[in-house]
Amino acid sequence: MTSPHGGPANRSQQPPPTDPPAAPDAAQPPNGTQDVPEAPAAQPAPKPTPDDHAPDDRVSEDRTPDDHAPDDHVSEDRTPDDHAPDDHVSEDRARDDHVSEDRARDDRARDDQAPAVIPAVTPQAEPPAPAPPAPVAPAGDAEADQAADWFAPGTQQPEPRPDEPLPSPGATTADQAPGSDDRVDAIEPGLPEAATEVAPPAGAISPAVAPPPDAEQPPKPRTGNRPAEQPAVAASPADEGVRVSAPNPDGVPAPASVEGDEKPQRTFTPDFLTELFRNPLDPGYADAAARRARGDGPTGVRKRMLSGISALTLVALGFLLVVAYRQTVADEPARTQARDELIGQVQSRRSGTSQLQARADRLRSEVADLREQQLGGAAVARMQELEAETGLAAVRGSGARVTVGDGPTPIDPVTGVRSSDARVRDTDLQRATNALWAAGAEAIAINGQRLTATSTIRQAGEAILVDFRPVTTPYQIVAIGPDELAADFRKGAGGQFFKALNSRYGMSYDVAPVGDVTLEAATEPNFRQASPVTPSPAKSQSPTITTSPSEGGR
Amino acid sequence: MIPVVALIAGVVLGIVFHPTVPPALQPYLPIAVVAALDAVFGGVRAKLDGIFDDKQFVVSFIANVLVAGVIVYLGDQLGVGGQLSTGVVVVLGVRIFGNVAAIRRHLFRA
Repeated sequence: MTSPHGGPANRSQQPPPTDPPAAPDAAQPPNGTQDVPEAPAAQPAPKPTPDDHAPDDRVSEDRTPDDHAPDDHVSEDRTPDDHAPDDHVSEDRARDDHVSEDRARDDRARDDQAPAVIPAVTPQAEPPAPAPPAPVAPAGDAEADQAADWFAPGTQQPEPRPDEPLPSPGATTADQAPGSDDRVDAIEPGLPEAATEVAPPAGAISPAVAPPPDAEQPPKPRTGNRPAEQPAVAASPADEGVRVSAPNPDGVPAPASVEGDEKPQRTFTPDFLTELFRNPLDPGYADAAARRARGDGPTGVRKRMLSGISALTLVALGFLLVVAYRQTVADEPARTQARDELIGQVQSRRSGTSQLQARADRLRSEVADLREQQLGGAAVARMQELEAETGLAAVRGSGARVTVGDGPTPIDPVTGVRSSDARVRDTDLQRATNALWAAGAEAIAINGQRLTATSTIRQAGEAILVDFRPVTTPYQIVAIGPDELAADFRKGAGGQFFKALNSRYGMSYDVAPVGDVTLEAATEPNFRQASPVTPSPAKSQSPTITTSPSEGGR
Repeated sequence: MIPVVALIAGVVLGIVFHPTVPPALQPYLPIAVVAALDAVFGGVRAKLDGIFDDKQFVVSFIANVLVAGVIVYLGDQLGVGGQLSTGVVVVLGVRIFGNVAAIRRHLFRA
């Protein structure tokens, strides 16, 4: 209920201008047929037993009026449900939908879509006010007026209290009875003044509109609507002004008094940090100065002694500073020593690796020479050819260079996550290499990593590994092959794919023919499981050749 | 004048004697220095305020150093030595900054 009420209040304010005028004019006849019957029906029933059942009856009555008034603007759904005015409910809901959007829209919506409803609502709203009085009794009229007044004030937040009190003063306790009897009692004293005259009806209305729990606040919003309506009825303006002023005094003074009582009791002392920031100087100095001013300070020998001790303290300070300095300086070597040692280890290992590498190269060339000597020229030539095909020997030639690079990777301002959409992925490189193989490439290297039959291109986190060695953007895929390799790639599916990536994600992409490039040999694969089949080299060759293109990119 | 001379004398003594700090006390040296600096800057500010007091200075100096050392020692024993050291440094640092600011105002009127 609260939410609806909150909404209604605002809406209620807006509607008044449109509703009041519109409602009286034509609304009653059309809507009146539907709405009016209900309202009257509800009212009659309550009227007979207003006092006894008053809360319910009035509530129903009140609600119906309220519903119409508030519903138009706000959240009548609930109220309609309660009293089951189906027609109204449906209308209300329809309105609600519109209402939810904007008050202004609601108003318009009513006019446009549910003109009948709107008028009905307004008329009802008016009728209810008058109606309640009749059933309730003489007081009812006054109450209705007051209720309207209250509601009007209710639009203002501070007034919630007034609503409660109103019911009580009204003596329409029955009205309030539903959920607010207690409140009424408590509140009554304050409100009676202004409420006595008009209040009772208001109480009835408020409870009806706003079910017990939230009733207090919700009524206010609706009241906003009513005020406009009620003024027509009569007395509202003066009453409102009076009441508004009245409630404030009652409500405000009390809290103020409470606060006043509390304030003196609480004493706030600045917390430690505040004190620390405010006055960093040891308070002892001020105390000592005060003592001296009083003449209690040390004198004569004692003072001189203190001065001496002070000087000694300063000597100790100087000593301390020097010791600390020396200690820090002494520590420094020990700290850097460990780091230097680590750095030294890294460098020595690195140099050892390069030495071993050089030795391996030397031995390899030695082996090649020896092999060449042992085997005939034809065998050597064949072996070199095989090595070149399988990627175990450096090759030279012309072909194409495909360059792919990561696109911009913006950081999401909300989540802070860096977008990886425009990153080159392993599948992209696989596609590129496969496309090159398909276009007739005979040897391919990615960033210098020569691909062989067993090469892998895969992603590990954000890095792409080619044969377990990381490669980074921009990725240069150099292929040796036919002269039209570059053009074929560009026209082929691979080229189209990267073109799309380029236009869509901004990934850099370039294909160009290259003249004379040398592709280094790949590292020799170590077969652990597979063993060469000696008898049929020819057969094994052809499969490897055919498979290499397809698997080269895997 | 005398304080400055005493300070220089202390420095000279430290250089001459070339003391070595026992390893057990090494962790407390930095915090002791900070605490001592706090006392010194407090004393300087008090001097400029015209309310310097020898006894107060000596007591605050010794107490600061000792308390700082004890806090760090306690923290080490409790396993929160680093955090307590940080707390000590923060508090003393704030005081040092405040006092230096006051000294600065005294000296430069700014």
